[in-house]
Amino acid sequence: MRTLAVYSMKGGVGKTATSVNLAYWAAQSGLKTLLIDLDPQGASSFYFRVKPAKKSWSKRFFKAYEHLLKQIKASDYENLDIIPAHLSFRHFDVILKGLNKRKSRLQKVLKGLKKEYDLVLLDCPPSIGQLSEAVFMASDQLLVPVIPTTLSERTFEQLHDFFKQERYSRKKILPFFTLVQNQKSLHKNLQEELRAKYPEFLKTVIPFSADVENMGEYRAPVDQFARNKPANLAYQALWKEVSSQLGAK
Amino acid sequence: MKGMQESSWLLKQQPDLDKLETRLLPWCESLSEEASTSRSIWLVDTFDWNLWRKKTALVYSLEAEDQKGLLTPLSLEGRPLKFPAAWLEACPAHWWQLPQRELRTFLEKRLEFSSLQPLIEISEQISHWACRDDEGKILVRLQIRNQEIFRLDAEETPHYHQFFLTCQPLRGYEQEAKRVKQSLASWLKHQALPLEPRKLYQLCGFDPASELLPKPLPLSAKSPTETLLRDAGRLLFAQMRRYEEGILQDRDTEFLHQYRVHLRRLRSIFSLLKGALPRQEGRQLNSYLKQLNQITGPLRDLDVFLLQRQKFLNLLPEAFRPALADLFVRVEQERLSAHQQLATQFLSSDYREACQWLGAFFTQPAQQKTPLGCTPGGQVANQKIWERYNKICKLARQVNTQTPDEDLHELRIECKKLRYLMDFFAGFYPSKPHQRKVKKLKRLQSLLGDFNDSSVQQGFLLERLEKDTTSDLDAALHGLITLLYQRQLDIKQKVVLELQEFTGKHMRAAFKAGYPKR
Ligand SMILES: Nc1ncnc2c1ncn2[C@@H]1O[C@H](COP(=O)(O)OP(=O)(O)O)[C@@H](O)[C@H]1O
Ligand SMILES: [Mg+2]
Repeated sequence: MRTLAVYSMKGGVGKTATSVNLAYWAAQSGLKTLLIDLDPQGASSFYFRVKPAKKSWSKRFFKAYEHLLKQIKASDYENLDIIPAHLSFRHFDVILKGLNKRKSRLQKVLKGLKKEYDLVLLDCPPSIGQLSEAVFMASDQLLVPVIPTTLSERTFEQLHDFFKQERYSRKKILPFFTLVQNQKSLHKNLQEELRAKYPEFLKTVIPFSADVENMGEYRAPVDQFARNKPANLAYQALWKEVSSQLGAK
Repeated sequence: MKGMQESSWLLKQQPDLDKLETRLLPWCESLSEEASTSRSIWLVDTFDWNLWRKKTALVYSLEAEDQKGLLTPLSLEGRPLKFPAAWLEACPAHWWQLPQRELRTFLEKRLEFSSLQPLIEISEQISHWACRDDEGKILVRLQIRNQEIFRLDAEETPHYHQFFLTCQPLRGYEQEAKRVKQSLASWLKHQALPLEPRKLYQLCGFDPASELLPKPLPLSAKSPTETLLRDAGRLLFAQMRRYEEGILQDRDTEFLHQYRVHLRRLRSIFSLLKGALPRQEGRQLNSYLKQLNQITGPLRDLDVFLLQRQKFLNLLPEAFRPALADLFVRVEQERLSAHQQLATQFLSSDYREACQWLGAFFTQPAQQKTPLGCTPGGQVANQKIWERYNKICKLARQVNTQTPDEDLHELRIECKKLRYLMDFFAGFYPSKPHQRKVKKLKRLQSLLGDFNDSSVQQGFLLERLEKDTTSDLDAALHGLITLLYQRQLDIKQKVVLELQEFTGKHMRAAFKAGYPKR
């Protein structure tokens, strides 16, 4: 089993759009896939029409694997299950602070899923804190969406620095460009600059596209309603590239 | 952790969708058809029902437009067995066509050399339905299956139609599935799996039990021995002829083998109890049976050799294999013409006459012309078994690792005779103690059989040594013969040990008590 997190300190960069479409393509490729919606906003649960859990369970999340299993819901697509978000996830950081060895806790819980899943995908909330650090430890790779703007560039460098400072393996970080508008010269130049500095940037680029925005209306992965559109092909290509990186490890 | 199991109901006809919707709408927001698919399913087994006999079945199903189909082992009730199914491009005829997994081992044990054949075809149309909630999320999936079922062993067979409704729970939506199930159950009542091999066989009129010989043969200890012989002869003879067609079509080597197994049983019981018939009739019978044995012998010898191909090649170092492989190609050719000859014989008037005579002979009422023929079988059985066992004990006393091969061969023949007697009369004895002795005897026989096979093989190879004379093949054959000889020596040691046990104090007492003088 591999664990892949889609992470950025910034909101609105396309983490959830990426998680939903990658989880979909992973499942389509035959991998038993579990998407865990860690964002209390529950956007990825929303796209899969899965209602959030009624009972509060985040305290238990890090206690017992059985409680986690009970939250699993089948999506409408083969091989793809989801753990929906819950508002009480907001308290994660607080709970994690009170736990021993808190950073490795998530990793241990996820290990229990090995028998059932080939891939666990974590859709993370935009923050840095205890939960993020638990995610950094638990994940084999961290997929980081970067919009080619100066602000996003700065956020990405902050993450890099944080990894360095806290001695997390920087090899885990897999950045890629998203919401790209190549008609803007700023976007073009920044991409080139960043690629030169960080060769680990993935080749695939997710374009800015109304089809991605429309996911909210259709409440489904892009492939379900815009099969031959560039955004859909881009997500499919992104999955191929990511899966070859995951497999190589 | 698995979710809930799916549930299916057998329907008398295509389900009424309006009614279905009315039933379900209290539990979900909408019911919609998602897709429809079709597939063909084949139920396969061997001619002698090797799988059915072990309470299992094998199903190959191929979705329309798929390249590969799924081969799934099931219980006769339709429950999947523990180990995984296999994806294959075609329904296999032999276990060795499967990839190296548990399913292959499972089939190897049950099939050996028997080939699989499709018996029943089911062509299935499935329409897939989804019950969704107010946000359009699927809560429960339903399938409506429309099956058309027919047997494959004849051109004009009746086609049966069955409909099933299946409810598939989804993980995390167990409560919803339970409610849907309950509302369906109160309406549909007849719960059943959509693929129950036992029921499918029944539906299509297959009756495996009636095709196979009962074990032990249904004979009465009170009947006169001659009557027993004719009754058993009739059963064995009919069973033997069942294999003719498969031999003619050359379906697999097992047909000829089984033909000869039944022929041997026939010959043995009549020869072991020959006093039960007037001499003249006995001779006549024997000469016809011998004729059948002679026309089928040559092909079987070649089969036996060819079945060892992989084993022999594995025994030799790489360098010697090509020459031996060539030999196998030549023997393969010889086999073709041997089969041709056998087929010609089977279709000849000689063969027809022999069978007519034999058939008439077995159905004739007993003549009761000899004292043994008139004696009740129960009395004869005890005496014959004890005498034969005693003879083996006597021979055994002279056997050690230095014993010449011929003596072991004699011993093997005697054990065979005892075995035929014990099998023939098995119905007269309480099963447990009798079968315990048979089991011991089987162990001994299996060793003696290996010993014999090994020398037959050496003989076959020596013969080849005289016929084919390339130097490469010479070397390969010499090597093989040496290896086989070594093996034979090992087996001999085991025979000696096993024999000591079979003729020891314990066993003798058991035989004496089990088959007393009357
Ligand atoms: N490639 C894209 N093109 C256009 N809009 C996008 C794209 N990716 C995301 N969006 C939109 O941007 C908003 C934020 O995306 P989201 O995936 O929720 O980001 P995050 O999870 O990082 O907060 C959403 O309204 C989404 O529809
Ligand atoms: Mg998000």
